[in-house]
Amino acid sequence: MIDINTIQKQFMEWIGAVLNDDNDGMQSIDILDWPDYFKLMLEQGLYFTLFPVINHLPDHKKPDKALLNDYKKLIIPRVSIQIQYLQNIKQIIGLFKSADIPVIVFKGPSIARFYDEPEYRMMSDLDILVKAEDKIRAQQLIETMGYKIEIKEDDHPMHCGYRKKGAIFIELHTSLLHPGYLGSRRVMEWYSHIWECSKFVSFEGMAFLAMAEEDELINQILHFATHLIYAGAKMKHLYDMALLIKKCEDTLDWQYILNTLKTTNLLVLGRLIFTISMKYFHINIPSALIDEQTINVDLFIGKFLNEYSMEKEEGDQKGWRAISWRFPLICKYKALLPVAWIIEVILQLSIHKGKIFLCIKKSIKNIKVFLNKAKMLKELGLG
Amino acid sequence: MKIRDGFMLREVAGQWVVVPLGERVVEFNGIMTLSESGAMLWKLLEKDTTEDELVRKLLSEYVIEESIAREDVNKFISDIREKQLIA
Repeated sequence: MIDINTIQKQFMEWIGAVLNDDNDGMQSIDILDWPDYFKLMLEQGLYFTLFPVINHLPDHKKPDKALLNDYKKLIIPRVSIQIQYLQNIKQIIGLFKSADIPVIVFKGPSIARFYDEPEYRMMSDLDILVKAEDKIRAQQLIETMGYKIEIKEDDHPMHCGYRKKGAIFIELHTSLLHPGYLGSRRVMEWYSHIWECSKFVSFEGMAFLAMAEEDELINQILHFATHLIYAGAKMKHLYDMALLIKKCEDTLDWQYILNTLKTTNLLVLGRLIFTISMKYFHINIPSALIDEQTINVDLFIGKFLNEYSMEKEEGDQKGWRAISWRFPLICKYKALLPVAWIIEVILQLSIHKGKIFLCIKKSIKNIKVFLNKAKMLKELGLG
Repeated sequence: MKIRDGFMLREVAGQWVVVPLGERVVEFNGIMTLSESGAMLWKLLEKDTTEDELVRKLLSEYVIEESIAREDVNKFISDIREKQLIA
């Protein structure tokens, strides 16, 4: 069992204080812990996001000068790019509006609007949802902006991807669910609701069509699920969801969220996320969305912080992503496990050039990682 | 004398930064940081202004001699002109 360690526990508590604007909690930090907090912030994708919070702490609670200066040096270029992206998005949205093509902007700016200083919340692309009948017109419009297609429709089941030098990458979605990772689920009802309940929101001098907060939250859960299966699930995703709930706690339609999570078969994962938000971040969640029985939340967080969010795409131990690609059928057909073993040993032999004991050691480790994660995904209804 | 369109002055992590926008991102590679006085001059240059006006602004904000203020303004203008930031 991988437990959450003391510093991780303190860090989660501190994040909870940040989310709840709890000044005393935020100032409870021991300045000697800053190097550990920075390491966790980097690992968990919160390094840039939390700068405004740290910067507003009283001087005696801030990291030492050298650490803070190094931090600022990294922040400035990254945040400058976010400022460029936000202006870029404003222009893109304006062009869609002029062309009279309705699009829903989700994730990035739609989540950043809940942040007090949105330019510190990193985004790498602009996700826009378009109705199937408007897709070709939307594609043509993006190309007239000087973008070139990089991910074609045939290459990805959810979106096309467009790149332009010096501009934000655009993902043009007609779907929100990756069937390769999440299988087929009942989403059509939800998709209809997304369009029916979409609304204009104002943010950073732009107005765009956004999903209702409930749908944005459900999509965040779906997005987290995809990352959990594929790779790259981080605490930043949990933070975004907790922040959204906190900012909209008086207006969220929890019954709708509950029903939609049921129909899309995401209820176990949704409840796990809500239980983490309640238990670690002290966010108010209705009891119907809390479940401490099905999944051991403490065990999950321990594994999440120490394993799932730490997966690397490259390296000696290649991580879940590579392993899961190698053995796509093993989750369903346990009888194929010996085949997986043979494939893994052969792969390790090719990597380690005949060092047999090392190959066996690595193979055992990889298969163990694979089986543990496959079990967890199954328990979450994602396997 | 005026700053060309497509540049934005923003405060990031307590530092004044000139951020290129749109097409300028490609032609102006990177970002430019400015001191407090540099940012003050930049703000004036966002509207049309003259060298004398910039010198007067510096003299009104800082206790310095006119010759030093003029030298600083000239240096600032030549720096941003070199980077092709003023029209």
